[in-house]
Amino acid sequence: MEAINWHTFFFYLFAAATCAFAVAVVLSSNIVRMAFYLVVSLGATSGLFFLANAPFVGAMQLLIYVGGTLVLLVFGVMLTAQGPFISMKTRAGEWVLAAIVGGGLLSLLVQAAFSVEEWRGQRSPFLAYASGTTRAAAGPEAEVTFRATAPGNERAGARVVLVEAESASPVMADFQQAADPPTLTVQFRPGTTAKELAEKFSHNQFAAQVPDGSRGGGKLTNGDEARLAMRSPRAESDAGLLGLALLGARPESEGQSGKSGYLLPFEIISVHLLVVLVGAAYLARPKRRARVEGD
Amino acid sequence: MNILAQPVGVSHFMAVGAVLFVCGAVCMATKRNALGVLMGIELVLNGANVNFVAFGSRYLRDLPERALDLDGQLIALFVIVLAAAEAAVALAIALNYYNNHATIDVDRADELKG
Amino acid sequence: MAEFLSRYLWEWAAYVVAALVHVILLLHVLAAGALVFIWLERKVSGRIQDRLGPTRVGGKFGWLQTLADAIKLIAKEDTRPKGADPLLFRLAPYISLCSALAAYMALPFSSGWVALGLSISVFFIVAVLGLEVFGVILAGYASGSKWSLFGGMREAAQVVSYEVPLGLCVVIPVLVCGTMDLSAIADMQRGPFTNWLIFHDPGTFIAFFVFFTCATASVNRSPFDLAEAESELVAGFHTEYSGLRWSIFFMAEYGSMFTVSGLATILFLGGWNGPIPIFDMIGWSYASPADPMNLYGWLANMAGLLNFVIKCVVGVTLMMWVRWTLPRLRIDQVMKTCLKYCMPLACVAFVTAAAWSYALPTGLTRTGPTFGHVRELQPAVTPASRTATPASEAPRAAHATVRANTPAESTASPAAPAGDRSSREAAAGERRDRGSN
Repeated sequence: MEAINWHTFFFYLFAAATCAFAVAVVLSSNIVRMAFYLVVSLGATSGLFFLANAPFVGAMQLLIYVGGTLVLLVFGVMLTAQGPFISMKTRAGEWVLAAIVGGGLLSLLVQAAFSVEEWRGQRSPFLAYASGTTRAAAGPEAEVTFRATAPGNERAGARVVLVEAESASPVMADFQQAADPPTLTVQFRPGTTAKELAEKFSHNQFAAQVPDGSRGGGKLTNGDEARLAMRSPRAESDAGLLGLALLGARPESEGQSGKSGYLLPFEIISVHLLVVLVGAAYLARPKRRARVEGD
Repeated sequence: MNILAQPVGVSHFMAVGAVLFVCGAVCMATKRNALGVLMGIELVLNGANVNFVAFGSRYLRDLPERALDLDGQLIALFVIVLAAAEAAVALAIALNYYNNHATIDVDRADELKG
Repeated sequence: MAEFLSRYLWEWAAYVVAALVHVILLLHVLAAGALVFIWLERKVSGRIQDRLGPTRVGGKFGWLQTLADAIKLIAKEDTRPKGADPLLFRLAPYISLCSALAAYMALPFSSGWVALGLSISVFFIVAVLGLEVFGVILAGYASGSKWSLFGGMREAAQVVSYEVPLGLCVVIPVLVCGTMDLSAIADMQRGPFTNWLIFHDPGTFIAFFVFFTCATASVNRSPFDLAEAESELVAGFHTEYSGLRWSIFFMAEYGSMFTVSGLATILFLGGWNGPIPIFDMIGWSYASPADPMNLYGWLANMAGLLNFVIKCVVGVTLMMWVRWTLPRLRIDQVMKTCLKYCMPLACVAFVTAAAWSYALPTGLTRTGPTFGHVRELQPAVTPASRTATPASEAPRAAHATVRANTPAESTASPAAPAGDRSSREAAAGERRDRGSN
């Protein structure tokens, strides 16, 4: 039995809860039940945010959305859920139309989501990514040809970021499209120790490995198996960085273009919230109660 | 192939987002209760949020350096805050409507009909 | 633990078992806590009203009174009114209980002893505690009774209002410490009691009391227990409940009382650091994640656990004391307390604390390194070495595995000791339960 990827397992758990209760919101006709299903659905969504390495957004979803907005919504539901308004049926014709349009839209969106290869997830992100054998080459360099071996990785065009053993500078290298299985060639000095190799690669998202049983006694010699393993990307979801970004500073993305601060939107939204506060208070102020209209 | 052994990616999150979005849209279209319509809006906004967060995550794609990183999370935060504001105003309107017309059925809000 | 078990089981089964052990431990904290606190509540109320309280069941002090009550409640009929919404009526108590339990996930009990090490654990706990209100609202609606509905509505209005000053007060220690990780916040208050954040500046001092008031309100305790006001609403949201479901509401209430006390302890009262750092003086410092096998470190952690639990129990007792001495407020007075007193006080405290930590980051009485230095000296517990539930474990464990694969680190892999640590955590939890019983 293949090892369970727990991230995947919990994703499917939360995704199933999210989708099932979202559908339940649509199908239920009792407004209070709808509110309850909505709470569960959005709570499960916050679980998805945690799984996507965005714990701050997840906690905010729980705090503001589920704990604030939805309480307000349920409050409104309880104020108005009387007699005929608890359960309002929709006509069958509308259901049919909605199902057709909704089904079409859903199939379109799902197809679009899965149409981009790059979005389908890291191919076995935490397993050995590629392995290869050093070969004797002309001169002092040994040539290592890496072949993608991890299950699910056998596809051309997979891109690897490598640190060249000599220069320690990152080099983008493509697995060759044509070769089968896709291969990648990178050069090392013979005699590079496994530790050196690991250190070189540790700057990037890959870790290199020379098995203990290598003939050079931990040193890379011709004919050795060498492996590249992908590290999990550094968790960069520090809430402090989010706060700095709201204040207009983006220290984590120095030198990258197109990553700017969010000070102006932050200010606009605070003014907006103030306006909403005043507006909601104005709308909800006590007024004369209208007479009940006869049906 | 064991589906649980495969990593999930942005696509999977987008599929969830699509389900939320479509459910929200259908909910908005079919519900007659004003608060039901409001719930549909919440679902739609959350569908969008799932996509934003997924695009911001480095775990979920083949090339982590192309992730939106914090931008995705920040936009998601703005969406959450705006949704809270929107819900407050919409709720105030709905309650006002209920007070003035003694009904919550949006189909009967037709006073402006020419 | 999962790594240890996976030698004997399938890997997935090992993870499931490890997760279950964590869950059961936390459930025990909740259950044993409720058992003790209900007994304590009876004793405290008895003494305050010049009575003895329970005296007979289980020996001299009536230790087992709660257990007897529990057996009685289990034996009672589980009734459901005719007009009730069957699904929501049944589910409502469990929603309350789940949210109360979920908060324990991120609550650290001693240095590094936390089920799920989140970098934003403060907000997670506040958020999850806010969810408890859903159980009450749904119970109020689903009972199909006017009294219940009124109770639920009051609870909704009250909790949503009090979450605002509560959140503001929580932000103040976060602001001073510069982190939202509860473990890191508590570690920064290491040293003599003058290092506790409550003594940091006048802002935090005010904030503690506002926080405690708001926390009392948000866990629905008297004098803010409008949702179950006996004098007006029969029993409020749980009028129609009986037997076990009724008691689950109270389990949730006592569970969240412990949680907010724990939050107050960590945010303001030094967490698991004792008033005098005896263990630091004799050189037994907390076990670091890099070296969790250190016996002295483990003993220090145990002492920290004891400190933490004592402070929490004192907090809970204080809430009981308040309950049995103050009369219940009216609903408009509750709202007035929130909007006219707590909110402005929290804002003033916030501004004071912000200005103070800008001008004088060491605070009034701090000895030892400043907060910034503490942060450099003691980086927050690294995620890879924390024991965690599989939800968050997956990427981290994998990370650790990859690192273990690299030859440079294969000997000092953090993954292996983590398992032992969690089993010791288990032992520690059991000891705690026995101690509090």
